[in-house]
Amino acid sequence: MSGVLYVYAITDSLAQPRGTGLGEAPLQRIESRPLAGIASEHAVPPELDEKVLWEHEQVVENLMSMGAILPLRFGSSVEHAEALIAMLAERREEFLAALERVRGAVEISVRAEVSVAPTEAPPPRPQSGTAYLLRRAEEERRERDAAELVHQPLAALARGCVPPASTHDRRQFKAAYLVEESGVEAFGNRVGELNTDLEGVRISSTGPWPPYSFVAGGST
Amino acid sequence: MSEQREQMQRRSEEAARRRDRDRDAWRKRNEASRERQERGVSRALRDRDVSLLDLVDRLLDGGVVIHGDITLAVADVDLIYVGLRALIASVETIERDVGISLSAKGPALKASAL
Amino acid sequence: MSARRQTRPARHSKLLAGDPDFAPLGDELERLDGALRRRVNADRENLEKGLAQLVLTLIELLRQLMERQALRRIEGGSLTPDEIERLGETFMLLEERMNELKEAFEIEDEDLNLDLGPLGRLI
Repeated sequence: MSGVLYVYAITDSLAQPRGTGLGEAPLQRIESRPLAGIASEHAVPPELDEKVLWEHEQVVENLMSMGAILPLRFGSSVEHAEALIAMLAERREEFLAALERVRGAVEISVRAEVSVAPTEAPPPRPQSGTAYLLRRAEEERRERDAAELVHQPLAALARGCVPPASTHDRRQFKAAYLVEESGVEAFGNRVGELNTDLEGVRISSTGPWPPYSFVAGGST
Repeated sequence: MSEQREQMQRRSEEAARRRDRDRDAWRKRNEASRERQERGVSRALRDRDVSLLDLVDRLLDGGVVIHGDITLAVADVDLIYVGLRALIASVETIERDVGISLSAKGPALKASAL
Repeated sequence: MSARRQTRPARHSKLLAGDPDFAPLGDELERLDGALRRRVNADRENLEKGLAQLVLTLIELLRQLMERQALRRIEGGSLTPDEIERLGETFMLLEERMNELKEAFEIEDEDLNLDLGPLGRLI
């Protein structure tokens, strides 16, 4: 076999994958019991552009109907099935645990713009180092508090999350939440409520996505 | 000693100028966003924008990684940048998860180091 | 996934809820657009400026990280007033040095966030 095996996801489901791969290539299961990789063969790996990204996403979303899956990063490919089988065997426990974590759940992305207005007039000069740091501390605190008002209510509705990292200038909030499939509508409603109720905060959320952000480690 | 004071004064004046610029930039961004809304940029377009960003975040930054790196398909992107992004992500993770213990002990910043 | 949004006017919308119009998002999108459409900077001049940008962005990133660490230690109460004063002065000095470098390379604040194309921004 020449070319590459382009891999979309790992699963512990026994079902046949639905749909086709990129460029309508047939999907195949690469078995490494109890796991399997879902892949398609290609002469050359795909080139990166917007269209192929959406196409890839569609393939992975179709695979969600198999049951719990771990989506792979875009562009993941191996030369031979043996390499994939070996990897699945080597990281078996890791993948089984991850599948348990995401079973029956989807990922929702949340972005927010927190408009904490810049502070008042510049401080008297010369400014001491202490004053500078204390002012920075105050700014940080206000930003963090505002972010918590968005994050906490949403985390409460989620099985797990990748919390927002602290940001500096940008005042941008970005987080991912692992939500039960049955809870997606309620989650969306809550986002809408927070968007309306919270002052100086604009929130948007996209999803449901396959659980890209929850394939490794643990997060709550 | 007065030379030091002069220096400090210059420094804080510079810092103040910077902050003014930041404030202006912040105001400009808000104006731009308001303008977009007034111009009636279609909601469909905005949906697509944020959807694309979130898609890219997930497909290129998330998911299971095999062979410890993005292989083959992302030929356009300099691998140095890939490594940098991973570095930043791990620093953010350290900050988030281990931040407290990092601050317990550690080298203090020395003014002379700069 | 049960909730497929096939009936939406936009071909690729995954919006679930909320308002997707952010000012900062506009910048991110512009950069991503450029990267995905493969507008490649082949100029040598851009390359050199790009290197300066890379270095300064890294310094800026480290500065932010260190500043956050300092703030955390201040909140934790583990620093003496002297140490706080010295740290603050150091950060201000660093800010001034950064400004000097930015001016020397004619780099604006907005440039100081390295665009990694499809991988997003560094900071």
